[in-house]
Amino acid sequence: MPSPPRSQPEIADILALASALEGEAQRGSRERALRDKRFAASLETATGDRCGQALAWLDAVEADDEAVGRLHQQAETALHVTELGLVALAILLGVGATLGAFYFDGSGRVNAVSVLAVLVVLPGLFLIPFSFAALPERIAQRLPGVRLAALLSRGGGAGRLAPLLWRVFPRELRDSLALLSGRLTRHQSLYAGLQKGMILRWSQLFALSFQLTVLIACLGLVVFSDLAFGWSTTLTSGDAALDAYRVHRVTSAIAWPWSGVLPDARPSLALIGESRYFRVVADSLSLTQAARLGGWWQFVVLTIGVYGLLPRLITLGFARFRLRASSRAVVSASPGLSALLRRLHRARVESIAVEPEANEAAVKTERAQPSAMGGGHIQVVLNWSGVPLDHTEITQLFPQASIHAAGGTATLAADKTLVEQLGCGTGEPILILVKGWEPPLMEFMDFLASLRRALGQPPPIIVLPVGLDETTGELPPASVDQLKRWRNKVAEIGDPWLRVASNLEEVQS
Amino acid sequence: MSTAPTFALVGHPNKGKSSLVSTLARDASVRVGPEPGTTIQAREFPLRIGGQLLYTLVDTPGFQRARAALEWMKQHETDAGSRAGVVARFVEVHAPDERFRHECELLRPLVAGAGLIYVVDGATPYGSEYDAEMEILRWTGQPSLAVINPIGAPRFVEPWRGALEQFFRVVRVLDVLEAPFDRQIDLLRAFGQLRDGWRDSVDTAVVALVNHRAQQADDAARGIAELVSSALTHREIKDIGRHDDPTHHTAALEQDYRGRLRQLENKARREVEGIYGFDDLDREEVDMTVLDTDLLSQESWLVFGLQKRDLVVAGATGGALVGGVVDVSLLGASFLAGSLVGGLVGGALGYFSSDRLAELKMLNQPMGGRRLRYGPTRNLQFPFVLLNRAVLHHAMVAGRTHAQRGRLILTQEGKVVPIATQSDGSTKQLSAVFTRLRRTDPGSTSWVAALAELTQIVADLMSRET
Repeated sequence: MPSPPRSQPEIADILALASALEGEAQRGSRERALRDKRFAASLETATGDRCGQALAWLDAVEADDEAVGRLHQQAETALHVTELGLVALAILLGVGATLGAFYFDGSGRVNAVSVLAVLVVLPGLFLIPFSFAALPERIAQRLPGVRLAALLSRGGGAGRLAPLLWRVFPRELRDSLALLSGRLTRHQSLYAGLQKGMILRWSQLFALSFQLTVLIACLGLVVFSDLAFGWSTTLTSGDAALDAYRVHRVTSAIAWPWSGVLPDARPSLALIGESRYFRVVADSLSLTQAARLGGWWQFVVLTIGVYGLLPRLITLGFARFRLRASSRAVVSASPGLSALLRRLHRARVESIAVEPEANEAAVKTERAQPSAMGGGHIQVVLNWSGVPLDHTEITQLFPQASIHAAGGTATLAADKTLVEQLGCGTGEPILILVKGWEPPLMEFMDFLASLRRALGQPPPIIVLPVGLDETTGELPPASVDQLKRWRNKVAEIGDPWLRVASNLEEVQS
Repeated sequence: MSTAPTFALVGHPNKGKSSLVSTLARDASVRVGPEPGTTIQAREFPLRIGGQLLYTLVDTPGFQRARAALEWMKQHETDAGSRAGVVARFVEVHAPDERFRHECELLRPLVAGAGLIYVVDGATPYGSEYDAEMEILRWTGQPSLAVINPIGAPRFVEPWRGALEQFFRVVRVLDVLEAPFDRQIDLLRAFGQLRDGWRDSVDTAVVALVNHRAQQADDAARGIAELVSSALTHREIKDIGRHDDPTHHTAALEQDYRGRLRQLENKARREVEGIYGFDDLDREEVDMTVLDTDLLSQESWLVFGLQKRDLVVAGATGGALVGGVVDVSLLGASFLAGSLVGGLVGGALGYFSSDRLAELKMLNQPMGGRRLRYGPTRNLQFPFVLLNRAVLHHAMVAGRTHAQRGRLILTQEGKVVPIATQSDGSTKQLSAVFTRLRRTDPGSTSWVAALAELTQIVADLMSRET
């Protein structure tokens, strides 16, 4: 079953497409035309979606060209492995950070403030450079210092770890990614947005993986160890109840998003008061106290989830959206794509002749120079095929001539009888009036040939093509083009006593 | 199930059969000419969409000995019902006969079941010599349609219509050389209506051809938009030593810059011609009149450029757009002062703008030496001139049929009116897009969006022109 048409390119698609388009430029025009014809058949052209059409073409090329398909697969694998590597690094870092933050040797309590500072606040600070880096270029350019901050942010983002990972990749994967690095370098203006989008996406993927690991590790510690949370401060007001109240206000504010749904996940004032500890007073907790102090866990877990994980989900979604937009933009602007699509659209509709036009076999024509023959007295006028002149008009022009009709509605037998009748004539010239606007047909040529056979040589035969312009006299002349056409055709007979006249004067001369 | 029909174009020689095929099949390679018998052999033009055959047009030679052929047929006719068989027998018997070569060639597809399209010239009168051939065609018994193609002044269309309606159920008038696309499509639809079984196939073809035409316009609009974008951002660069005199290189850089702009325009023209299947358009034969003027000549700028008033509007729009970015950056704290000042400055620049195409800039290089940069152009007028020329060229190419030979002549002087100066807001819209294209990196999402917008505007302008 054919897969549905795609319209969203992945990075591997962009690499394979760039390679395939470069390959197209190397092909001969004939080979390219044949491929276009094949690929155009399955191309959906009515969508107007350049990206979708480019991807459809790429799919067809990959099925046809093993090298492009292999490159695509390798790039896809390499990019997946890159992401897996980044996720693995984030997991390691997350586990390390969680274990560090929750370090508990059994002699004291886990400081909830430190845990949240290390696992939520510190990673959260990286959202600031992300905001700079995510700003559209045209806005970043116009805000003082932002462009530099954005550059620095991108430079220091976790996404920059990716090229380091590539160094340990197998050679074939490295090669496919080298193409990516190469293109990013060579076509900086085209791929800058894509590069930025990739770094942003990888950075957010790393951050999300980190926060997810922290959350899971935290839950793991809650489930599999006995955590007793507490808080401590040097900045005391001197009144323990007031200190606890202040901390309670802060925790309540933090817990506001979920306090309506999970009221137990907001530490109570009593719990906060109980949770305060001083290192110098190394009091040991009773079992009941320790169990009560563990009541912080919901607050800690939800704080990590809401303030650590959730923003990263949003930023990853945003980075993914930006990368998708950049990918589509890059595909749409790929060098050579417009020319390719033009060719494919054209190849989809075939309407021209399959076979070349046949050339007329060299017809042997006996062109002869007409003899210097005078018109003399025209004794016979033939109206061929119904030249629109009536009998009276012709009689006025040629008072001594007999007038006959041939061709047109006359039967072939009637023409034959007429020819035989004329063959018994006096040898005076014969004038044939023809429609100048009609082409000389072979049946007229047949008639001329039979007439000559009947007459013998030389009674002259004069063909007078008549034109359509009634304003030019009783016998309007044919146009120059029409005359040329008649002269050329009549000359093929090779009869020296046959000529084409252009007007009455020429007939008489 | 619908089968792909065949339509044979038949008739007297030199009445435009090949021209009609050339137009409908969009094949400029068909030999057409005033000499009788230019077509000597039936030639098929299959229409395939995505590889699927939808119909076939057959160009045929004209009748040469119609009376003799009819006489033979009459001699062999037994009754009215046998006429189609007699025609088939005529073809069979006379296949090797050189005398009836043309008749056999033109009757063969009809005997095989093709629809009959009879073509006559509406600029010349009906005559009795047509009777025999029309009688033979009637004998074939095939569904038929007559096309009156006036090769010149259509003086005899009505007499022809009267004569043809006695022989043919459907009679259409179409100037094959000038037929606009819509008329061509109408005629094709009429072909499909000749027989029920043919309709689906022809209708499918018509839909595909209409879509293809729209695709051609889109491709051309995109090509023109890319031309404008490339021309707007093009720059010529030369690295020189620290002690080199830059004035020695200025003229060469300017010349290269101008040459490149002309090349871009020529390339875009070839592309547009290619889109419409005119790859082999004879450049020497084609007279583009006003388009033959040099892109950067004063004459061209006078014809295709903006008026002073429009330049001010264009400048103000571009300036306001730039200022607007500042307003956005300051989150509105500027109270739109950026747009206002930008608009005023832009408008003033538009009013006082020089004819200078681009500026030479000298940039110091970090590793020593200097870089000379000519362009990109900031001239307000230039993109309008380029665009107007491109849209006009497109109108001429898209309006040309493949039957036309020789010179391409711009007959409607009105078309020379610069499109972008029409008072419909397109000047402002274009000016804003030009500004965005100048200020964004090729390949960025903003650039792609601006290019898409320009493509749409160009498509709208083109649809108005064609």
